[in-house]
Amino acid sequence: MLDKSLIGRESEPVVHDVEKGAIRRFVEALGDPNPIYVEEQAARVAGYPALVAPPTFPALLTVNDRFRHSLDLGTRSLLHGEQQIEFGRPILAGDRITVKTRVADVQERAGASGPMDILVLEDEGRDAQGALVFRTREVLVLRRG
Amino acid sequence: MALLARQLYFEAVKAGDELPPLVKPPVDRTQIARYAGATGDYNPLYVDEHLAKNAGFPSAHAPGMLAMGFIGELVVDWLRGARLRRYTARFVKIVWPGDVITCRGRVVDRRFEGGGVYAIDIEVWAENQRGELVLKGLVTSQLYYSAEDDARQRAGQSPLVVTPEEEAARLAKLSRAQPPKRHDAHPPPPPRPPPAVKPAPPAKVAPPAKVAPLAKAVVPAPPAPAAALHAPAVHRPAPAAAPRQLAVPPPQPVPAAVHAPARPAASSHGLARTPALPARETPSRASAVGRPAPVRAAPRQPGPKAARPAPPKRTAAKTRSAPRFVPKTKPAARASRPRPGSKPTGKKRR
Repeated sequence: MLDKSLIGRESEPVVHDVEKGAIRRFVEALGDPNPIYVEEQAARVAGYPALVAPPTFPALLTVNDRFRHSLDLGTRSLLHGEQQIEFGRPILAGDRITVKTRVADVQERAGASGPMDILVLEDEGRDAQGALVFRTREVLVLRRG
Repeated sequence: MALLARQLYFEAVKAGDELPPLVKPPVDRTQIARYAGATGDYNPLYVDEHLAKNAGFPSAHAPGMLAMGFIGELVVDWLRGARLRRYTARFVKIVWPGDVITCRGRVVDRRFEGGGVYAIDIEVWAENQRGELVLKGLVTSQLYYSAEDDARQRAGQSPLVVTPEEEAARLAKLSRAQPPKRHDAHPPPPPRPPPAVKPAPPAKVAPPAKVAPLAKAVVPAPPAPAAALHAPAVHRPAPAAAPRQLAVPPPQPVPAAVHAPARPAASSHGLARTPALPARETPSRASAVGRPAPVRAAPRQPGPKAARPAPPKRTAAKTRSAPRFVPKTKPAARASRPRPGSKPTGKKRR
């Protein structure tokens, strides 16, 4: 059972530089052929000042292993149950985004195979000017045993 | 790129509009590994087969975010650059290596938010090749009202403010000659006769006055398919045109072939939508809120594909059972097995 006292715990800010190569690798992994992610010209035609990142790109920016380890989740299976992303603005190549993660909630829920722990993490990404770029909320399910 | 340059405008979107389904190539382990590498999320359940099995799973599986990314592709393509505000997803079932994911979406809300702000909600979902829902979500996007609004805002001017009343009045004017009374109450009511509706709202996109009479002339009779071909062509030769005809459950089955020509080669998904509609009443899916039937999209294969895909056909992707924490598997998905009522277990696929 996860400790409720984890609620509110916050990570150190992590700075990410959004690189073209990272966007490219990400869309290649998705198999998304949209040129706005990899061709400057296409991105500009579509109205972006630089290469843009796809909507689920925050998945990359919100991975914070160090913070997760600090929560002492043990070796249990961690399943992704839900994901919300709110966009302040598109993420662009060249952005420097500072991301903070915090534990929004810890719950116990009855599952088909016994009780499960639910861990809700919230992340917030802000650009160099301090403007909100994205906010995410992910619901993780920890199975017992 | 030419396509990217063309915007999707609020005035051309209706609640009920469906996005052309996107069928992704089978998810394989290489893709899972690449995605893990690209994001840095090395959850062992994605990349460590032994660990996944020890934890009680039949094998390693794909991150839910992969399917969410697939739907992102569908939505971004359809919105053509419109601004995303919010994207939420619930990962209903695990995506396994070998799964073929079909992404779908439908506009469920269209809002005038005042002050020249226009937003739509798109219900999105993904299914695997067994017709099982793997992801369900919602995308909220903000659109320009029209090309004029777009141009104004890009030039740094104030947004174009249109009220629902103004829009309704304009639409009414355009389709006044139509016998059945138009959408007074709700903009996208399914039951109205397709010819009256389809040509009208888009018609105002193009040179308003000229187009309207044409549209009327073309569709005096009820044949829906004909209307589908003509109406969109007037204002919007783009791929998004033809699908909107189908967003509304058609009164009579619409032959798939009719729509095919209106679609550019690039959007292979169009055909899939047609068979989906008749199958909507399939009992096993009734619980799924208004979701179109899970017919596997079969790009470029016209013909009667209306029935559910027979699961046995897809032997390549082993019929994998759901992990135990997932409540139930729909019987239809397990048609190939003798005991439809039994609970899936991890043993089955070995």
